[in-house]
Amino acid sequence: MSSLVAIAGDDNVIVDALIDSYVIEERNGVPVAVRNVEKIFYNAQRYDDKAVSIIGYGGSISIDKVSAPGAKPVYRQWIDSDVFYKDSRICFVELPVKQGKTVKVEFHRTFKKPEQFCKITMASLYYVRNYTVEVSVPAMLVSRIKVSPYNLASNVALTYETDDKGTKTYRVSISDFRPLKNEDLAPALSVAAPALLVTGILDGLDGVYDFLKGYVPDKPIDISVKEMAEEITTGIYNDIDKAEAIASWVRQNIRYVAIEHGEWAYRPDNAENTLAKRYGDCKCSANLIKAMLCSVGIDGRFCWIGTAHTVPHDWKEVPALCSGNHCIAAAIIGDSIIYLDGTVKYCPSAYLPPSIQGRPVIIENNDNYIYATVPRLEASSSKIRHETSLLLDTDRRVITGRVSETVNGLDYVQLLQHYYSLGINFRLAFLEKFISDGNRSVSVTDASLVHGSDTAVVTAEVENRAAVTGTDNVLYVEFSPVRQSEFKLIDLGMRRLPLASTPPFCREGLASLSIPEGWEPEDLPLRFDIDNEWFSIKVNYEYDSDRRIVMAYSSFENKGAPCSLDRIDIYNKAVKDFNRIVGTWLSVRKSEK
Amino acid sequence: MKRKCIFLFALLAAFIVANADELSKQRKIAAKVWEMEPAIFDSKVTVPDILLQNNSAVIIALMVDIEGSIEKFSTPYSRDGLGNSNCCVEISRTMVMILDDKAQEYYTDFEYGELYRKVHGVRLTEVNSEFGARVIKPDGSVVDVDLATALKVGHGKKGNKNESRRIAIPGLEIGDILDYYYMTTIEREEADIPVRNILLGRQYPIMNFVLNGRFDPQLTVEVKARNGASIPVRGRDNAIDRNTIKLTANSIPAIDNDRYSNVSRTCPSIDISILNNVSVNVRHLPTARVPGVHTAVPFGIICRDIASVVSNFNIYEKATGEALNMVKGYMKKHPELTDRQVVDIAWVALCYWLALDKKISADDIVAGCLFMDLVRKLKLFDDNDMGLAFYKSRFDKPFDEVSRWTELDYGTLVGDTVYTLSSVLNFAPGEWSGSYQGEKGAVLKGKRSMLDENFIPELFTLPKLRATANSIEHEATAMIVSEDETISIDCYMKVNGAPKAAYGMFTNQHEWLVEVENLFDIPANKRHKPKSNSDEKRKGFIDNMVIEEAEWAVGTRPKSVESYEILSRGVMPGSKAFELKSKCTLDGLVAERGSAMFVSVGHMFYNTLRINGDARYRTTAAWLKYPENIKYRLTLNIPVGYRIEEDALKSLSNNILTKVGQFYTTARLNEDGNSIVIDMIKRINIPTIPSKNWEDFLKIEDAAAAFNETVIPLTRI
Repeated sequence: MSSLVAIAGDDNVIVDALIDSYVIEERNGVPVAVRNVEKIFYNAQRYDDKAVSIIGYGGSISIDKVSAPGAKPVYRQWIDSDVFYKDSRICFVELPVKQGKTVKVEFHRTFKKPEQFCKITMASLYYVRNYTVEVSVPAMLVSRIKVSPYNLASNVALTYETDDKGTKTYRVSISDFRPLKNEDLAPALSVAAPALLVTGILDGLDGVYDFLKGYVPDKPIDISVKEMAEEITTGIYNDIDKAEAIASWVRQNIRYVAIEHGEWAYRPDNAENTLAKRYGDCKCSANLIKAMLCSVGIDGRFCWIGTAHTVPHDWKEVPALCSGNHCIAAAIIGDSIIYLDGTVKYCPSAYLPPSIQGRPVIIENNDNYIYATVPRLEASSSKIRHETSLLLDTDRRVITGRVSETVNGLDYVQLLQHYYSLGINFRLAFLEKFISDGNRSVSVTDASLVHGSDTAVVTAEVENRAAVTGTDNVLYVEFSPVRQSEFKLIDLGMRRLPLASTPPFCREGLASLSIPEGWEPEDLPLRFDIDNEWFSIKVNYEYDSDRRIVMAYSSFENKGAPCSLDRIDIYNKAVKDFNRIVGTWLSVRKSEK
Repeated sequence: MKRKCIFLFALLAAFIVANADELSKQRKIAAKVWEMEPAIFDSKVTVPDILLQNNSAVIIALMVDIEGSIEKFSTPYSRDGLGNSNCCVEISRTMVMILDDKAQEYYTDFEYGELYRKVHGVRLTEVNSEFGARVIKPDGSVVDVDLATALKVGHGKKGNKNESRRIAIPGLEIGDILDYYYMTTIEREEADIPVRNILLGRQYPIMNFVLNGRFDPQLTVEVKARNGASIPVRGRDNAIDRNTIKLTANSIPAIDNDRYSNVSRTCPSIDISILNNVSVNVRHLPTARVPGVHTAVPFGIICRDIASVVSNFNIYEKATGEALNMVKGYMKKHPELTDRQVVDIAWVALCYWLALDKKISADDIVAGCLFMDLVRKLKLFDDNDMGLAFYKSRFDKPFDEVSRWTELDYGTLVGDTVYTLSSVLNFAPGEWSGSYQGEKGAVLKGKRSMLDENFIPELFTLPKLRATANSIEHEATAMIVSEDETISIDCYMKVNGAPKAAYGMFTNQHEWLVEVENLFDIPANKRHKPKSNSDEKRKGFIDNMVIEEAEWAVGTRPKSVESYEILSRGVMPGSKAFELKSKCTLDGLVAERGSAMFVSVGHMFYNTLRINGDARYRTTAAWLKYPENIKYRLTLNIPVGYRIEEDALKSLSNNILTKVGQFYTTARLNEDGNSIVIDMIKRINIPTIPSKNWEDFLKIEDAAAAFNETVIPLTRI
């Protein structure tokens, strides 16, 4: 519901005041609509310029009036690259602003389905001197509708006043509102931006459930769905395996095509339609999985969830539609709930995508619902085991050998998704880049990928021309059992946002380097053992018995923890320590005899 | 209330009827299309294994069917009360076998519907497209795609402007055959249809191709075949009173579409130009061809068109007069100028006035004509030594294979130099961007107003520069700051020839005009004034460009840029080079380990991407922009307390010399032992690398990419 997005990024144009007012209307104690008026007062500080405003509408939100002296509003359908079709529209105004003169844009909108009015995000790309949001709740609804702050700074308070008629107006004002921009590794703006949350239009979590459940098709299972489910599960006698097989088939065969206009934003297509069309979005695949499960005698359920990193709210704390943005299915087998996300094409069995791990979920349960939390998986569920067997060629000053990467969990999902999204002619190059880890001096040959349903193995021969440097008598060999590119330094210069949490993962490394006759390894690199809030890493080097082979072992765990803004300097120091380990040089000296 | 309900019901009924009509029309079109060319649209055909194994999809059949017609209509805007409308209906039908995820994703969704509708003056142009599709399953069953499930995309407040439809193909699986078509209708009142360019190649191999054309005998249709495509066979179908063309081809390989391919010069293609030469309400060239189908119109005919156009040009000539006064004033102050220098000066003077004169919107042909007139007034060159030149970029169709005179690029040839408007902001007068260097062109010489009587062109070749003339030279001095393991680098860069195009963004029109005013020493009160005072915005833009430039040239994105200065823009006569000086800080290139400090010096020498995978195996020529020479000298100061063994510099030596160029690096310790000097030269001598020499090119690129990862050890004293 962020209503203002301004395009110009410099600070010549500023907003003197932005007043965003919402009035909830009721009939017989039932909220029926929300009227919104947004007034923006622009100013150009140093030279004549243009200010651009965009406001969203469409679907159940109408745009009733736009006032922008000297500018003609342009109305467009919003085309989203991720969503095949939705009815969102935008109104775009490019307003000439004279230096030193204030000009005003005013938008009037109506939310005809008040249940969709649940979050007012405060956002602007221009600097705003005074940013005010007001929400007026009529007397009849005061006891039901609550407005609460989200992510407001400690010096900003949400206040309210009640007029003679009992209308309660909530207000928050922020002075010197500085625009948030996308920053490296920062939380999504939907998480980072301050907002007001409006709850109670739907009556608590029960009301939310009733609303959502009302859209889930409730008709007998079609024969086509049943036949397909039976075909998929033929020869499988264990319910858990059956559920996994059905989910896997849906992931592999139902293309993700999102259609979200009108009630289709909430209503999944019937299972038989999704099956016939072979496409659908998250709710369609969830509904198909549920129907297929039920048709083979498994208790399949439909679930609503808010994905990690995009939805910061919990259904119970914020019982409103803004707490969810995704649908999955669940199989209830004995005491277990098996969560099945139909949208992750190469999801290994029993693996949960990080977007749903640890997230609160509503599971349908006839007239009631089950409130639960999707389990979190250990970091070890996503792992790359990196094995290299290398030979130092002192004459050519190169290292050569064989590399093998065994990939599981999220890395498996990403590897295969990327690999198969490429045309046949581009897949080899992708594997070579994966093996070389972006190092341009590594020439890769004979790269291949072999994978099963939950593990992929990439192998190749490598030659690294820049890994050996030094003199005629002493050579330095870049030799590390740790893959690069796990972390990068964060520029603190203009930084305003913390680091978001990331999905945890593990790496294991086992590397060997054979030293040719006539050369002796000098002291081995130090053993590293670092454990901090973001990662832990252990690296150990040792010789074989006759000191001809140097072995290196590493184990690394990214804990996925977030980092507050004031601790990013400590994070950067940790990254430098990490990079020090990755860039390890082993010295080898020519034998004197 | 009742009346309102009746009205709504009527509206709904009307909508349903209209929608049903539309669907019924679509079904009729589809039925007709599915019956076309049944011999090649055979879903049961056996696709060879070699195609199945090496492609994401195979196009079993591709048909392009064009019908050109012309109709009269009543209009108040013509003398005889009649106008005519030129209509082209083009059906492009594809039958494709889907073999993997990539192809399934590519053929998942389609958009069609109203594309364009605009009235130019009183004349309407309308373009819209219909679509149809069906999925053929491996068992042979056919499922028609129901267009009723298509979703409307519309703009405007009510969503009814520029409407189109989006549809996701239901039921499409790997192994299926998708049979789909677009039917595009273009209607232009009194005007020509834009040239239809039909590529015979696609991103997937084509087993069978057919082109059919049927044209009203009143239309003039000109057909060109290029890059090895056969000329379509002309014919006549008296039953429908149409002139016809037909072309068939089979086993067309997939086209390379990577960074080194050049579809315009390599992929067989057919141009069809449908001309409304019978309209009496618009002016035609006297050279316009008569109705009928003309295959392989000789280039000389196009030259006659050009001669006819420019000899009859009536151009607002204020800019020429102003420029002439400026040049004469300059010549008085600089009597030592050679004729060539005067012409260069005249060119920038003319462009200056063209930029300032709001009454004229000059394109390259207008500027070319005006410059012919200006040079003639200067009486420095004989009429036979100058003329209107035309040519094309090497990434476009060859100049003598265009379908219409409007497809060419224009300039003015004076003596041996060609001047063109399109390179003004990037190059000095007479210099050329890389994609034109060495390209052939033609020139119509003589007095402009007489050209229609002397339309025999002379051929010429635009200057073909050696790699060393398209050069980028860097001289950088780097200092290691041990305390924070950063490197401070001072860099001077000089760019000559074609690579200057990459620095075009450093000079905008306002800055170019200021350069001209400085050159002519125009008093402050007579100088142009930019519309808005946005120097600050411009500076922000240039700041960002400098960072991008440093990232490209130094190879590593700078942590910060401390200062920079543009020493020369290289766009004025006598100022050939673009020169930039900058100072920035690099992070992450220095690592102290034990008793050694490792410096990633390779990261300071551009950023060469390694060519990976199948791209290493090439069967067609690689088209580069231009031959190029890059020289880089880096002086790295060794921090106090460290030294480097001379033999440690060995790893910095490369000398890869192949038939296509050279990659050379060397390093030496300065006599004082306090700094290392590293020299790099990367030179590619030829702009088009034959496939047999691809390996030679790879050797250079591989060496340059590997050099980027080179590290040197400094040891603690």
